[in-house]
Amino acid sequence: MNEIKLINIQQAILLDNDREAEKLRRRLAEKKVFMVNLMASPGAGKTSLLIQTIRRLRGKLRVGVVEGDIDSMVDSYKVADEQVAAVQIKTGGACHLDAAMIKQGIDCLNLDELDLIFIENIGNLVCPAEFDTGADIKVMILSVPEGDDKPLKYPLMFSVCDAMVINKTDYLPDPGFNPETLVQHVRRLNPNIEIFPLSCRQEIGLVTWCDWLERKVIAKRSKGLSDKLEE
Amino acid sequence: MHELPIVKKVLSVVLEYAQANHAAKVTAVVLEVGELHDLMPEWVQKFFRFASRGTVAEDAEIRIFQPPLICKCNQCQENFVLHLRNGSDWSCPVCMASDFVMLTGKEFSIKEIEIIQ
Repeated sequence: MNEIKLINIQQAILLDNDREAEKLRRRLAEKKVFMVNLMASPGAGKTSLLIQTIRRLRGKLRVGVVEGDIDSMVDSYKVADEQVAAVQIKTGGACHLDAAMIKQGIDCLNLDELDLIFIENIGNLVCPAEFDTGADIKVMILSVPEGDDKPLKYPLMFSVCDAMVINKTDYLPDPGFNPETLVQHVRRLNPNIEIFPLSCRQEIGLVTWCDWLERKVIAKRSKGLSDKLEE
Repeated sequence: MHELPIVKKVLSVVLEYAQANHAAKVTAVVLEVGELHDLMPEWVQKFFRFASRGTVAEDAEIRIFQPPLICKCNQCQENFVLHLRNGSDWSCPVCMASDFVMLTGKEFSIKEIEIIQ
């Protein structure tokens, strides 16, 4: 009686989320739909980048958007103006989107009519980095006014992303932002990250970003087709 | 704030194992959270105390092991600790190379719990 007993667990803290994310990834793979988890601080330009990207991909790819917001609809109205399929998820205070919330959003979209889904995650650089959403790639935006020291403060975010967009390059030169310092730090955390400097406002650098994204989507689609042929 | 959703996930796993092992009380929960994750131990404890009220885990002490970011230099093969937040210089202290792989620091798991049956 009253003896303390040790129970071994050894389990990932977010195991149930990881499983849910894996299920989503399989479902999207079957439908050959590519999904991007877009993360950034508030005001870095998530919605602007989305809108600019949607305009450039129009006629090439069919795009859907899952919008995360703590409690407003502003972003989803803006995105819906671009005549793409958009779903809004209100997290009711939660500071990130997890795989279960994304599933709810995706259930509202017709996957047979889409090639590419963007998740516009909640604006912050901490929590969204922890949660797998089932997306094929994670992309973060860092904008010039935020400063070049952000990898020191939010190393996890910079280390988990497949690509980093540096937005608002029209603010350069800026004494608080040395692009070389930023890239140096980011590459040490994450040697294979793709980096896209651009300005949504001046519409500079967007073509390189969109071409890269389009290649990713097409690669998944053709892989899906070759898997089907092999069956 | 982002500790709260994490704590809720931890609590649900803890309660599941507590029940399976017929625990009358959970006295401690041991987590391993690498340096790369932003988790404040004092907030984890506060949120856990709040979230676990009325359960067998309500008085559990949360112990967090935080493995440092140990890197291995790809040039001279030396292992070293990368001090992320001082920022100035992220390179191998022996040969100054900037080309390294992380060996530890990404851990994010529940290791074990201590229970009284």
